[in-house]
Amino acid sequence: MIAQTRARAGVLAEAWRELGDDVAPLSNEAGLPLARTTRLIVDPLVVRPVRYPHLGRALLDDDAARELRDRVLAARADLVATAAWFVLMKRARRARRITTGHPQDLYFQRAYELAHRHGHPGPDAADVAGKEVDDVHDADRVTGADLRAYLTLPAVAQEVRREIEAAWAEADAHGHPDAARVAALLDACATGGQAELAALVAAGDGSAAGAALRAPGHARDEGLTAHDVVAPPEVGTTASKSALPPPFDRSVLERLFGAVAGLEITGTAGLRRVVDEEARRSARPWQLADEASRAVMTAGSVAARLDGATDAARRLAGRWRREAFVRQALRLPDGSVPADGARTAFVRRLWVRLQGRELRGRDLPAADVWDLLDGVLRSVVLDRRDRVKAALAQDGAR
Amino acid sequence: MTRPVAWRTAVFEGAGALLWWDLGTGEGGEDVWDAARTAGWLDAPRDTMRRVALDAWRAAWWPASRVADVAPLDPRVLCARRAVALAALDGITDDDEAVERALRELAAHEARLGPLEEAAVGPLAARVREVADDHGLAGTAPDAPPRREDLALAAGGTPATGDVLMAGDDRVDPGAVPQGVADPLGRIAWQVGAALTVAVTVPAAPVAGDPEPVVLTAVADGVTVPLHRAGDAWWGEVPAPPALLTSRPVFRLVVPGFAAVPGVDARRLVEIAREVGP
Repeated sequence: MIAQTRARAGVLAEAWRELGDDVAPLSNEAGLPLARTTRLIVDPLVVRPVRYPHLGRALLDDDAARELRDRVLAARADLVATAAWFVLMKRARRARRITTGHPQDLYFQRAYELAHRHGHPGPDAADVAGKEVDDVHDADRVTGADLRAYLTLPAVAQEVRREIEAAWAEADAHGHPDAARVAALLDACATGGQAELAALVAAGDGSAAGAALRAPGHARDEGLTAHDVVAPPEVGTTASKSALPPPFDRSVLERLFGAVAGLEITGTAGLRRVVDEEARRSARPWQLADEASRAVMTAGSVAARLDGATDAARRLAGRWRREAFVRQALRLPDGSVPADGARTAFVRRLWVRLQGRELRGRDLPAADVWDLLDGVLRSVVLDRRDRVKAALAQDGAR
Repeated sequence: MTRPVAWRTAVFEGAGALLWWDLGTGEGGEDVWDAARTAGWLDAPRDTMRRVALDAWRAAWWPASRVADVAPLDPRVLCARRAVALAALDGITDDDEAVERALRELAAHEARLGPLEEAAVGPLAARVREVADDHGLAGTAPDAPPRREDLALAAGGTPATGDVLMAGDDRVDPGAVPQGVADPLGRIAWQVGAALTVAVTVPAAPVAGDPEPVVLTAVADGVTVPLHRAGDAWWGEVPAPPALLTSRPVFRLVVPGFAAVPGVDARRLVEIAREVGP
């Protein structure tokens, strides 16, 4: 048994503070990394827990803590240059009067790449940053509207329909998930869970649980469809970002519409690839392509029962208890209890997040599992707050 | 942990911990629910976190009242201040999108009340536009919305005339209604007239700009009186069920879909408001 002695967040905070003022554009008032600095730069590009899972745990032993600190400090020059490039990119954005998209989401990784390629910004840096910004906002990038135009071409629609049919014809996987293995991941994920996730993935429990959803009524119980039996998706001709049907009832267009602009695709070939992948994804268990996604879907669906049976379920239930108090403190009590549709809302939101990760080609390390589950419940909780407010106003306007 | 009394508590939702300040006792505390996540920020100074918490409390509980002479606060200003402070706490808040959420809330208030700049608040407006720009939400400031001055005319009612068979007034419970609905120190005045109708009047909470629409009813044993906002007061009248005359009714306010926050002390709210200031 390895002694787990230090919180990762604390180690990271200390190391970050050692970097000093030169990374201020990536830091908050307290000198800590911004949420997106951690999520988009430090974790995926500097610490890389996918490759070094022992650095991804919430609690680190002394050796891992030292290694994490060393990695961050070793990246000092890159991070300082990234901060400088980010400032230049924001300046270029302002000069071009661009207001779309979150600058951190759009530029952080690009700024890091520039830092890697060019080091600290030199004399021609303003031009370089300007070109980079132009590239991000390239008008040739595929948008949701382009996707719709593409999918509504009769020949394309027909071809995609054929692909969906072919993919669904060879739908595979069966068996039963092992409840003990699922529970083991839920017990471990808040503090680790690497071995437990690997065991689930190796055994294919996620696929087995996903395949079981094909039995009449099962997917509806999870909130993933309004129908008794799940049908293959339509190609689709319309999509709005609000009022979407449950995930399994969404057309290919609806599944891709919101995300496609962020995928930085240019040209029909790229579009075609994304659509093909979605057609195939829809036929797989849980309608997800990766076994790790399916494993997390399976575990999430169990944890969302909030039954106190596992550590994760207890932690999630704790969020609901806090929420009851916070709602009163914010004068927003609606008297609802977690059981009121929260489980299915959770499962739907989790699916959307996992599908989104697959679209963007992001790995799913064990270190991300708990943050993902907790983040999904947070979204469900905050959505409910907004809904209470909206419902009060709407009733009054009637 | 024992949590403080919700209605007089300012809360900040941090990553891994809920910080709270009981404005009634001056006590502060924290409910750490994920210690690993709080490492790095829990020991940092809490001034900005307290500011965020106080502005959220003001938005929820500030007891604007004609009776107690407490002026309403502008929700745009509260929202803008919160957005700016939350941006300084990026990486520390439980919700990674807290700034965007506050900015969207601000935009909704602006759509209803007009641009923040109209509230003339010095550097705050410029700063919040900067924050919006930094978060990709730098939409153009909205046009001033159409005024709805005809509202008061449309909803105006006349008090029951003639003989009064029975009358009384009951306490407004601020915990039973959302912010900006009823004067927390007002009374629910009711009377049963000779025509056997019961009429109810409740002073409205003063608000900045037009009030947000809400369904409000006054409820006593066996009778529900839908109320309509007419200027400074809510008013409604329905036939009085005979049973109403057999004992003195006690009216309370009910907003459908809103579960009352128990134990709210309106006088204490006003005292706290005077202590913490606008």
